[in-house]
Amino acid sequence: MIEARNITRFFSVVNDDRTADGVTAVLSVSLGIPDGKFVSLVGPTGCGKSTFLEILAGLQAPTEGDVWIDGRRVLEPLPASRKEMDAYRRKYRFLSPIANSLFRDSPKHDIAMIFQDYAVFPWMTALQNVAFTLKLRGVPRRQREDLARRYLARVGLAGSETKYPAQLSGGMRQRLAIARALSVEPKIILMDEPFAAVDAQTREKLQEELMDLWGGTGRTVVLVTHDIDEAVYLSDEIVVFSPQPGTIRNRIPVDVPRPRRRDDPELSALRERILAIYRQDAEHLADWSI
Amino acid sequence: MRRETKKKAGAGVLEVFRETGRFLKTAFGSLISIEFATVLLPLLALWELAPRLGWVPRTLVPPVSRVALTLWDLFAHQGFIGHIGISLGRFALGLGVALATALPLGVLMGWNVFFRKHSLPLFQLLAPVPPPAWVPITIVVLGVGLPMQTYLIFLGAFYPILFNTYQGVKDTDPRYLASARVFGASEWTLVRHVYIPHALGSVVMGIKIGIAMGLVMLIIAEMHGGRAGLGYLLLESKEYFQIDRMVACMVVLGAIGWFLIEVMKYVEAKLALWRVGR
Repeated sequence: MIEARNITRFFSVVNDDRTADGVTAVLSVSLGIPDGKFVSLVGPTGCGKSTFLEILAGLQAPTEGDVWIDGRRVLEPLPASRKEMDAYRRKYRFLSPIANSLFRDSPKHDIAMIFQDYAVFPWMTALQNVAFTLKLRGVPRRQREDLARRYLARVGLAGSETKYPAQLSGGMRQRLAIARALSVEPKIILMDEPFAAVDAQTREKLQEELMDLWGGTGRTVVLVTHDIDEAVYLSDEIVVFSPQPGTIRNRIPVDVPRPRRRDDPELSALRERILAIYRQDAEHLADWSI
Repeated sequence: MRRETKKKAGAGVLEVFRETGRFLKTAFGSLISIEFATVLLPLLALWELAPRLGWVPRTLVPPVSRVALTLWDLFAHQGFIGHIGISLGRFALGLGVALATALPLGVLMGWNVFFRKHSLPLFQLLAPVPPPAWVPITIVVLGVGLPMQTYLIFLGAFYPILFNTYQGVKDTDPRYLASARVFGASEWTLVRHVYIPHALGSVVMGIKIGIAMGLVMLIIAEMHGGRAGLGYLLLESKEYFQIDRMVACMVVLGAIGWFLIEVMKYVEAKLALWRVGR
């Protein structure tokens, strides 16, 4: 169970004319995601959904509010006053708050993440990439290679084990990232626009494969995407974000039984509904934005 | 059983030979080419002919054949190998100390903001002092001898290695750090498996600059005292007005520098195999 309570993320920025300004990327978002659900976060670009996902993953501290995963807090929020800020700085003098530990490899939460631009390590071969994450989860050295081979084979990368990411195509690199995420058998997988950088055909194929791999494992998936077709085809629930500042505009359950067909009329109706929300937000932006 | 280990050792030796061959081939490959020969051969011919035909005074510019003969004479009869060995020994000591201190410090400064804020300004203040400016005070404090020479070579190599390592580690792509952290990497694992591989290119760059600066300081150090080494030989030749010997020393120094840089190139290619595919 992932529970986000009143997450707000504020950034200080400097304008072109050198005046200080602030941007609220995420404003007061509360969201509970039950175990085993596939939830998509959609919204126009720059609405703070990726920021929100990073806060869920513990890669950024929220300005306010906190995220709880299975009853444990992910990161404490950033301090509000000058005095608290000094104390916070002192506390995290040596290690940044997002660091795990100095010498012991252990994740704070059972999470895997897939990034938009893959973020697989270019200095490791495909096999080493997967074996590295296995090492981080404490798999004994002797089992790592066999396990890594098995996961690579599962995403269709058998035979490319000794290749470096630079030698793989975009789709294959994304498969490698998926294999890496699956290899640690996480309870929760967070995906940040995972299929944005591949061509349409590969994207559809990867989506099907993702569905096959996810089906029946009881894993929670949170997918951030700006592709509405992808969201309605894959998810159990769609959370629509409003444009800046990012807040939850609507939560739309998708009660279409699986396996789904891409041209299902129910799905296209949902798609129209979400697009209508987008359109209205774009037209009435000035009415309610702060 | 015994034969098997023998066979394995044989294969190992063969592999070492093969690697050495590969290294020499890539190292000399750029030197021995038709394109470069069209530049080098006329230059050598000019060097030979200009003094012989009297375009430049022969007492000041020895022709290339004369330099080659002197070089042979130095190697065969005057213990030149010993001088080279002593110089290389000093250089290795100084560079070794610089590597052993600059690499860990650079990684530490790149990795940790707290440490960086406390130490970086100090190095930024000290680095602009030209290393040769340290010679007088070093001689006063350490006297003339191996400690002084080692220290001066260390000084030349230290800052380029330090700053390049620091820059490379600091500029590590945060996406890689984030993806390793999500999977539970400890900071030590991050340093070993993410920061250092990512910084490798600039670390090797720093070592290359460090080698060049270290050679400069080697010669300066050896010119200030010492009874052996290439720098000493250079200075001695000046006293006796043996220009051919000076040029021979310079040729050898150039060859040493070139060879060390080639070694670094080879090491980089071996360690950063993943860059090759790009």
